[in-house]
Amino acid sequence: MEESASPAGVKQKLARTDERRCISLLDLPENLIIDILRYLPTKSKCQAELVCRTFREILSNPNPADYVWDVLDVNASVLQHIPLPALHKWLLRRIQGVYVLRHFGSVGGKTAPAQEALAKRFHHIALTILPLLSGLLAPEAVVELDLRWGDTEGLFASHQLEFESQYWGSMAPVLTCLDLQVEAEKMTEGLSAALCQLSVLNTLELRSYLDAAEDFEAVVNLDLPRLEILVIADFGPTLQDVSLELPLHEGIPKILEQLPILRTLSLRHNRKRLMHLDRPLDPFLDMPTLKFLELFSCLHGGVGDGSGMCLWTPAALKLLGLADQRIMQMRLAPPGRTITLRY
Amino acid sequence: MPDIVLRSNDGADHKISASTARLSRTVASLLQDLEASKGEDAELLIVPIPNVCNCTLKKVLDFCEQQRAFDDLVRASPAAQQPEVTRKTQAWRETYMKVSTDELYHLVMAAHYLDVPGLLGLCTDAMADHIRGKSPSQVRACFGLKPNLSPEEEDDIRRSNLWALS
Repeated sequence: MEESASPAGVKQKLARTDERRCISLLDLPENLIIDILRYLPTKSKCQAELVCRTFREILSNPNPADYVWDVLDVNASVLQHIPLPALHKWLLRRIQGVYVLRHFGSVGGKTAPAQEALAKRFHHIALTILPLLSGLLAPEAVVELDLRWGDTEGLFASHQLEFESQYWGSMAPVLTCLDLQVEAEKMTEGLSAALCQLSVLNTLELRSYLDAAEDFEAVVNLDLPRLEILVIADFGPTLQDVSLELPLHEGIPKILEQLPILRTLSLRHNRKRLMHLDRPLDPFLDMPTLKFLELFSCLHGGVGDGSGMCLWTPAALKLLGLADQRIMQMRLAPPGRTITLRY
Repeated sequence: MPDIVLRSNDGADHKISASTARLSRTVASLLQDLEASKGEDAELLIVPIPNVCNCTLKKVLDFCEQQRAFDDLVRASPAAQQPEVTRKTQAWRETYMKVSTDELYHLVMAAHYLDVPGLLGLCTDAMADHIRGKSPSQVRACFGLKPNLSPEEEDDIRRSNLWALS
């Protein structure tokens, strides 16, 4: 109080205010500014380009050397409002390095008529944009494509959106990572054939309970020998009392046989129930190339309340057949995060 | 290793446990070197942190202490209580990040210098929150930026991003 009442105090206060005003975001290291701008959704990124030249340079001309990837959130709600020529132009300036199209086809939370309209629009845009992307990519670029369907899995069948080779043909040489989020057992022959064209694909995410023979046969028939990372969401039986015998001891080994260089297998169970587990996970341990096994909320090992968190006690690990010398590291994840077991 | 003292650039000392200090990779690296040269029985160590003032260092250490406490709690809690622990963590973080732009700026610089990944992510996310949904002039006012784009450049950006700016 004394300080601010005296002339000297006022002067000091003003000096401090001036000092604060001098602080600028641009004084931060560039990698931090890039990190901050990266957090922004697509629309805010566009608006931020108008802030100053530095923002514009970072946002419109990412240098692959220090900005190796970007995420383009093109979901259906955005697609509704972007004129196609504007989207094309916008994409043109950004296709460098590793590119991720995330939630490209998500139409969750819409009413049925809106979903139908969006599905048609998505179909049109996917046909237009995917070939365009492939033509724009730098030679060293790789593409990760996330085509998840949100909570509208019925859309795939109801609108007969056949993922024929026209979607993938031009992407085949560059597409390394695909999150399809389509149920394996619902894949059409056209889609299976198209996926097999993806010659450099090393990461694939599908959904499958794998609790029936035809489920894992659909995955086996994909014939992707270069696949290194396979994520199966919705893994495991849906009913509480159904054993994991079939998916674990028949389904998984058959899949692994067809994937000779697979190093990461991630099984993600979204149902919030315990399941019977009566035999160790020998098939995983017998895979010489398998280095990472992710079990996300899929096996509770007798511990847990089904809320999405697994606690891996020594007893549970023994039951899983993983409590041996090959476990080098075990990380307990917070709820909702992936548990990774390395051995 | 016994507790250590981190000394801010204005001379204030903060005594903390070595395990908490290790949440800063910068300090952890230093401690590792010291352990290698002096062994575990080193006397109370004073580590000067020349780039961080007392107020900001205290804030950073608050985060580290709390982070460590939450980590311990997650390990110790039964699965049924995990969602509650997560909710508490998020609530604490929301309160923790209620800071002015100036404080946030100093915090992000300190998190960067001390290399505390959890805090750095929290800070950059909070910085992005200050930009999200704001007009360019509001962002400039918030972060002390001056407009330096020519009218032609602005027109070009507006034309290219018409869908987002309309």
